[in-house]
Amino acid sequence: MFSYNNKISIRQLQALLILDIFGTGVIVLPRRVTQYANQDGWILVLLATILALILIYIMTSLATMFPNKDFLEFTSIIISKPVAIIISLGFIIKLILGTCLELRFFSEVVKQTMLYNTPFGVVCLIILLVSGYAAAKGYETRGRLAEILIFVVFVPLIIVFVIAAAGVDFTNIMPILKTPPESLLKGTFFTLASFNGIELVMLAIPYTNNKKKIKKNIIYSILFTGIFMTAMTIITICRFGYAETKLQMWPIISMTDTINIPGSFLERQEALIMSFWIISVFAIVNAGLFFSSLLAKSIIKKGKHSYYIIIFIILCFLMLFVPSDINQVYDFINLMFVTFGVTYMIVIPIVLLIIAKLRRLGVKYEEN
Amino acid sequence: MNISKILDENISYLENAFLDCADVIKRKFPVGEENPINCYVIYIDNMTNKSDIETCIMRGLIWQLHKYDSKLLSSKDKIFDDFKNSGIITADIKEATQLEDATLSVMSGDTVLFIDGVDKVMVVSTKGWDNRGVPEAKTEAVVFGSKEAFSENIRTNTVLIRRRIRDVNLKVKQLVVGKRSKTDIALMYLDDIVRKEILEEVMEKINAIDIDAILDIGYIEQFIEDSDASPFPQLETTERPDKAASAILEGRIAIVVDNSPFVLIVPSTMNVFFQSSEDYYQKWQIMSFTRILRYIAGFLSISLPGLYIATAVYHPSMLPMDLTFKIAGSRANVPFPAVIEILIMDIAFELLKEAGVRLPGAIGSTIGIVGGIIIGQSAVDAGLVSPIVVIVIALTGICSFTIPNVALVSGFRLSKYLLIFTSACFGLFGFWIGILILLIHLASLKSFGIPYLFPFVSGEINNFRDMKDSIIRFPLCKMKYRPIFASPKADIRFNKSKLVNQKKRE
Repeated sequence: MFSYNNKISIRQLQALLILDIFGTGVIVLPRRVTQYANQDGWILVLLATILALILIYIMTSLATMFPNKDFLEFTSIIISKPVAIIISLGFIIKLILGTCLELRFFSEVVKQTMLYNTPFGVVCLIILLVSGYAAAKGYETRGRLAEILIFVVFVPLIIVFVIAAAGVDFTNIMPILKTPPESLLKGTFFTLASFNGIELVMLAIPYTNNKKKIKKNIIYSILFTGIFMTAMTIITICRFGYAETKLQMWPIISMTDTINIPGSFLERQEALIMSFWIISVFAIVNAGLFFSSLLAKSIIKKGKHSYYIIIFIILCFLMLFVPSDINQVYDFINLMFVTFGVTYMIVIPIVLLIIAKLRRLGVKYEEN
Repeated sequence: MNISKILDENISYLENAFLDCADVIKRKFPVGEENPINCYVIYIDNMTNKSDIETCIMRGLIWQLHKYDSKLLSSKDKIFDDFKNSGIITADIKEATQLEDATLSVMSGDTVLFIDGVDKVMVVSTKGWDNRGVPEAKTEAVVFGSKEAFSENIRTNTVLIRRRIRDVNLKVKQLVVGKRSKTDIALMYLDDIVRKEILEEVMEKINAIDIDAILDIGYIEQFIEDSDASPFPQLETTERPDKAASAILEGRIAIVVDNSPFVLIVPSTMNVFFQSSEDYYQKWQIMSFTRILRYIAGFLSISLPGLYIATAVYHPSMLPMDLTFKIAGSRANVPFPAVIEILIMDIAFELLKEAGVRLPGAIGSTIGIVGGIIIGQSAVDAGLVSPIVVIVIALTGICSFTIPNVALVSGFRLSKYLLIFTSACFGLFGFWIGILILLIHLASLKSFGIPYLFPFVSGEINNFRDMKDSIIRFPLCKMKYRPIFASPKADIRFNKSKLVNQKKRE
């Protein structure tokens, strides 16, 4: 029967994870990868997917070692409480900054494609409020919502891309692997930024019902996202050629705009396709607000969950005005990735896992 | 208060209680010629079947017991049994020892017989008053299928369900709610199929209601639903006995309330509001098509006006050139912005609908003609609204009427304004924000622990079995399992092996 204990099913976790990872960064993904590796850009996405899979394996291994402990609890067990609190605080900062940049970036896209005259603050505030509303409804609601939104986002996108794939010139990605290895590695590292969000797994696993099949299912959902991103990149590069892809401001949006859906009476799909990004941005902002307030509550242990959400909405909104234009947003995103991103996606999970293994902590060892 | 052995004390209590109640009939009379025993009957006029009282009670007592001699009896206690066994000619006799119980019985239409020297009374069931009988279904009319509908009498309603399920497991649990109304409420469910935790929750919630009167099923609905902040119905009401019976067979609980021609069914998900009982009486291909139509209509009835505003005002470039020109051309003479135009037309439509309901049938149809045709046409001619807006609003209205449940339609009608508002402010962006708000709200709703959007969310809890009866209605022989409402122990609806054998023989 259905529980009232704020836990979600694996299927809901998968849907949430896919929505949380699949963000607006994808809109510029083809441009970024072609800047590093020309026609080999899609290989970067593929390599980044493999890297993400390894990282997610580490994270799930870590979190499933302590199935009924939340993030703060199990980090306290592994490396003393004060350090755990510092890590959690950093996590909150990372989530809030990430949410802000995502929103700011998205508001620029909205300004270019849908609402030419509305100030970006209004767009961001609306998304923040709606996401906050959903976050305040709790984890179960988020899980159920994700199960529906995943279809709303992906079914139309898949249809559009299947149609786009029909008429492309695949010789545009030839010759394969002409990029020097060092730029391939550097590109892969920065493409990993598109998988920003996988670290949420460490926070989400304690709230999942059936923990037995969790690892396999999470890996499937990352695989799905990775393959989807790779396919999108290949189709875009094939359609435009890498030289033109480099020049497009929003390659994915331009690409969806060039195709004609057979039988559809719509003249331009631009605004329609944007709709699906609204939902995916909503999912990311929602996750950011939800998990940061969850962490804050687990540290302070007082007050209602929704009060923290309100505080973080105000914080996010104020920080939106820090970057002055889109180029600065890009700079900040890169800076965020090499500092907080790398720390929380790569360093912390690996270090925590190693310490936990060395100290023989977790369920497996307790059973022995 | 205990019933006294002295008849006159009881009489004075009742006289006092029923002071200035002209509808109460009381009579004191002696039984037996030698050493008569005084008796006293009390009942409410016209709430009882008078010929029953005359033939079953008065004739028996006065004629058959006229030779009765109280002096011959060894003990006074025997009088009661003698009267009960040979005086009253009916099977339905209860006993009461409290005066409060006796008065309540009188007010529910029973006749109460007091006997001098006995400290208990006989409550003879003589209920019988004027009612509508079994009327024809009006709000949930179907082309094929039973035409019966529930009426105001609780017994008639429970019988309508009992006639369809002849199973001893069909329980009719009776409760009384309302401090003054003392309304009878019956919970009907199949004991071996119902989820016990839901039954307990329903009982708990109903018993917790402390109110003067329950005048209609709507009172119960509003008291026991999970979220009263939501415009969407979380419990299903129906006037069709076949629908109630089929719901009970799915493991749901039907709540029958006296004086209400509707029956409440708990728990309910959004999916069941799109189901009509007719869906199962016809071929599945046809009804699946109807289901798809209903879901599309449901979406359109919420979104069409908002979508029109978003595309026509903010993103005309999305539409083909010809259509854009058509819309722009038709709007050229209209002095209002698109939102005002939509709102004018929409409110006019809602007014017509409300007026049509209030007016009696014959005049009601005139409203349709005057409102729909004359005002609509003139508004367009006068340049107040554009013809496209008339089409949009009319289509929205028609779409909302294809959904079989009136309560859900009302929820949709209100949500429509949210989308009109957000779309008017932010175009397609606002439209999607509106849809998101609605989805968040719907996803957060639960009906007695079952997610409102089930089986579209959390469907894997019973392996997506309920999807077979959602957007597409699968053939009946494919729906082997009962839906989520049934207890997991009794989730098999029919034995499939027999069906397979039949096919093999052919």
